[in-house]
Amino acid sequence: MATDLQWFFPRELEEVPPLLARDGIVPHAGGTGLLRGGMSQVRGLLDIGRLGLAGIRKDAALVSIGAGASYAEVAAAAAAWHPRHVLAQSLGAAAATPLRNRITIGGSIALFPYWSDLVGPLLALEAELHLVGAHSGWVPLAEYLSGRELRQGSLITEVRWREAELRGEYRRWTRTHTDRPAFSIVVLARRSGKTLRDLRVVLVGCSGRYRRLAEVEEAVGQAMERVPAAAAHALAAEAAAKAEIEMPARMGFSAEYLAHCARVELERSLAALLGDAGGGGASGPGSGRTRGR
Amino acid sequence: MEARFRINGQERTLSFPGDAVLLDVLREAGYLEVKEGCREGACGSCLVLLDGVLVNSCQVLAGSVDGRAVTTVRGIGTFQVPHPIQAAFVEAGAVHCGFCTPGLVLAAYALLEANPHPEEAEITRALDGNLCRCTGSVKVMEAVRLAARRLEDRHA
Repeated sequence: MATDLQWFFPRELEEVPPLLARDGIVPHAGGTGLLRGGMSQVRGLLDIGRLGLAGIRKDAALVSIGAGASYAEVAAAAAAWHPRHVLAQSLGAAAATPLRNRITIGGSIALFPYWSDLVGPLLALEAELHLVGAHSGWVPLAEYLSGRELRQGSLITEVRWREAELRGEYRRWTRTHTDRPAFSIVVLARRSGKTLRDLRVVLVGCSGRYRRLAEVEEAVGQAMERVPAAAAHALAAEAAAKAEIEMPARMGFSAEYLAHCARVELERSLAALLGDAGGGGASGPGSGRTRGR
Repeated sequence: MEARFRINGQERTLSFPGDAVLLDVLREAGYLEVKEGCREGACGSCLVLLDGVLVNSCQVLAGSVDGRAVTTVRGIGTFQVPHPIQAAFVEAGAVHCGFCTPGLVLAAYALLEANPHPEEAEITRALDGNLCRCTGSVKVMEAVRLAARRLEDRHA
């Protein structure tokens, strides 16, 4: 690491773009990702702590979260909105208490490791990001993740999504209850009477880091609207088996094994969403204990 | 670089490299109760309260702490006048080698400040960032429950 590292503490967003335009200056929020990833190329840190970016707001139409909000703050807010809110499930199970107090939303999106417990749910919620710097304005999260150009020289200031009362399952596949997930699956839908609409399925940790499983959304989603739950469950199992899932070998597991496990978890998630099975949460060899933690 | 801290209620101005983590800065300044364990945020030995929030000091760049309040385990009680949580850890036999104890005490403190009547699952969750290889978790859980009762009695 560079010991002559400079710190900058802007108080206004207008101060951010010229700082980020300088060589080697990167944003700092919680710092956990920076420390894990190494800072050999970093010459300066732009601390966002005085920019007032930690707010969490929700009204009837929109949810908005400041980039500086911590996992713990967002998990608590989401649990207050609904005990089974997907972000309460996912961020409540991420890392451990002191790390959840420190990991921020903005930093977690910017770095997006394969074990992220945040990005999958936000993709399923079709979140947008507000950027300041080389690129300014609102961009879909999926667009931000698809290339490097939006990420370089830009600071994430806020995340938002339209509140659609989507409910569903979050499953993280781990070896032990304190482990990071090898992959995670989000399945969300809007319940209308006995039918489910607007099905959204996201797999994180696959080859290419993440994929929205459109083939599953289409096959299962259409079936859910016209058949009884039991039949939809059978169709969901079939769709999960046929899902186009490619996984890299990781954490001592073969790609084939992880792809098989991802299909199993996908089927269970869909079944749980239909009310046929138990709740979601942690899964894999380390399953069963994380939910209580 | 130089930064101002309020450590255990005392104003301190400390000098350190720009890439230093809070753990090293605190230990260099003599706060040896903040233990160095894994340096990965996994063991909880280096826990401190940052503006009252429990964090791994090995995962906090010290430069970001300028002007903020840091509390170590010495900040909540002393050997002569221990905090009820510290006394409960001793009484319950939750201290063996002691290396993890400062972090466990602070994790319990953060929990009981926010939630004076925690349920079992809430205690387990609050301590999920701490590793203890001597006692396991049974005595520690007993200590937290005992501390909760003592604190309730004190406030009654």
